[in-house]
Amino acid sequence: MLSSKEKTTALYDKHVNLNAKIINFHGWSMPIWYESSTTEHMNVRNHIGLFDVSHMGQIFISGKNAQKFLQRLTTNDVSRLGVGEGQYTFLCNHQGGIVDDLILYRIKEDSYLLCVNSINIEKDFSWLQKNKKDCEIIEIENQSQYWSQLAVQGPKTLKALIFLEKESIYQEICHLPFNQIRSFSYHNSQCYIARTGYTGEFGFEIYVKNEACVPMWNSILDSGRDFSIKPIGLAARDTLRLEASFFLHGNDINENVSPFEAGAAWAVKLKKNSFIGQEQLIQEKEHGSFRKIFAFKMEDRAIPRHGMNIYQNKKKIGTVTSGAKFPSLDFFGGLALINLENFNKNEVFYIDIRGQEKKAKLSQKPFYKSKAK
Amino acid sequence: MNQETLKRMYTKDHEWISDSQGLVYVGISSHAISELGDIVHIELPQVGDNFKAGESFGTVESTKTVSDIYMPGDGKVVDINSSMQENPEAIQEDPYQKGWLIKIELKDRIKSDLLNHEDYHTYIGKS
Repeated sequence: MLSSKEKTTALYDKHVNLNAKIINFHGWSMPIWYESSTTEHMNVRNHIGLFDVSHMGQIFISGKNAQKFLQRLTTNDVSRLGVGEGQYTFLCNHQGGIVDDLILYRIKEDSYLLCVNSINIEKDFSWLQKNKKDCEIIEIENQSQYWSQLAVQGPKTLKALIFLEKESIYQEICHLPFNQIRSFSYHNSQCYIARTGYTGEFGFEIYVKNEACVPMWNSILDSGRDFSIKPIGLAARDTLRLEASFFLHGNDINENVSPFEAGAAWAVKLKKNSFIGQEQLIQEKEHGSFRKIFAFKMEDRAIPRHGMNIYQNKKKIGTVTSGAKFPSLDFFGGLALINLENFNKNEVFYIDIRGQEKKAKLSQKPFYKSKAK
Repeated sequence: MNQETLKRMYTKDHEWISDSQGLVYVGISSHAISELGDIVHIELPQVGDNFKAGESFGTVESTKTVSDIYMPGDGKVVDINSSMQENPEAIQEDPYQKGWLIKIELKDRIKSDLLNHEDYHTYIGKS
C-alpha cells in the first residue's frame, strides 16, 4: 500500500501496471523488480534494460564563479571539463570523508549539473549552500523535484533510442564518448543525455522533465521492443553495479571513508587549487591509508551481506559493505572495508554469516567487464 | 484440487508440510516465493540434525533478503533435497513437488496452528 508520505516518480502508474513489486526505498516508492531480478540483470548484460532512476538528484550550479566554487567543493579537477563533458567526483568533508559521490557535468560555459544520490540530495544541497562564499557569484538550484531520470543500458541500447532520430540528436549520441553529455529537445521540453551508467554496460542516462518522462519511457520501450528490452528494477540495478564494482554511497562509502580508502585516487587531484578535505587527504597519501575497500570472492557458497564481520587468524579485520550472488558470473562475492594492519592479502579470510565462518579471498576489481565495450 | 493439495498443510510462516508414509516433507509456499523474489541461495541442515518446533533449520535467500525456515514440530532431519541447494532457482518452478527442502521424522504431533489449503489462502489474502 502506498503511504501518503512516500514519494513517487512520474512513472509510478507504469510500474504498477507492469505488475512491479514496489518497495519503499529511502522514502521513494520504487520498483524492486518486475518479474525476476535475475532475468532483468541478464537482460541488461545481453540485450537492453530501461531503469526509472528518477529518485536521483539534480543540482544545477551556474554563474561566473561556478567553476571556482566547484573546484573548492569537489575532489576531481573541474578545469579539465570542456562544455559537454562529465567526471566522476566526490564532495568531501574537512576530514576527507565522502559526503557523496556524484557525476559533475559541464553543460554550458558557466553552468554545471551535479547528478547526486537520492538519499543525499538535501544533505548535498545544504553542504553546497553552506560552503558558498558571499563574494562568489553563483546560483545553486536543487531541481530534483522537476526532473525525472532514465537509464538505458545494455549492448543493444542504441536500438532503443532510434526514436530520437527525429530529434536530430541520434547521430551525435551514436558516437558520444564516455562521460559526455548533450542537450536536446523532446516533446518541447529540454532533456540531457549522457554516456554514463551504473551497470558496467554500454548505455546512457537521460535527464527529462517530469511532464515528458512518460512519453520518453514509452518511446524507449517501443523502439526497443524488437530487441528484447525490459524494464529493470532496483534489485538488478544493485547486482549489476556490484558486478561492475561501483560503489553505493551509504553502503560501501560514507562520510567516514575517504576516496583513497575507496581506492578511487584517480578522482582526487591533490595538486589542483585548494579544496575541502585536501589537507587530510594529503596527509593520508603521505602516511598511507589504514583501511581499504577490497573486492572479494567467496570460496564457500554463501551470500555475504552488508555489515557482516570479517576475520583472519581469529582477529576481526573488517566488514562487508556490499555482497551478492552475481547473476552473470555464478559466484558469490562483494566489497569489504578491511583494516590493513592485521591483514594478509594473500591468505583466505572468513566472513561470519549468521554464526558460520565462510571462506573468502580477494578478487580483482571489477568482477565483471563488458565484452561489448 | 488433487489429493496432494488437500493433504498439504501450511504454517503461518509460509512453510508447507505434507505427510508421506510416516515421514513429513517440508518446503516453502509459492506465495512466500513470489514475495521473496528470485531465490538465489538455500541453506539446509545436515541429515541427522535435531530441531525443536519453531526453530530455524535453514535459510532461503533472495537477491535482497534472507528468510529463516522453521521446523513445524520437534523432529529429526532424515533427508535433505540437495538439488535445491545446488540449483535454488528451480524451487520457483515446482515448490510443492520437486522443491521440497527437508524430510523429517517427527517426535510428536505437529504443532497445532497449521492451516489447511483453504485457510492458508484466506490467511494470505488470496482465495
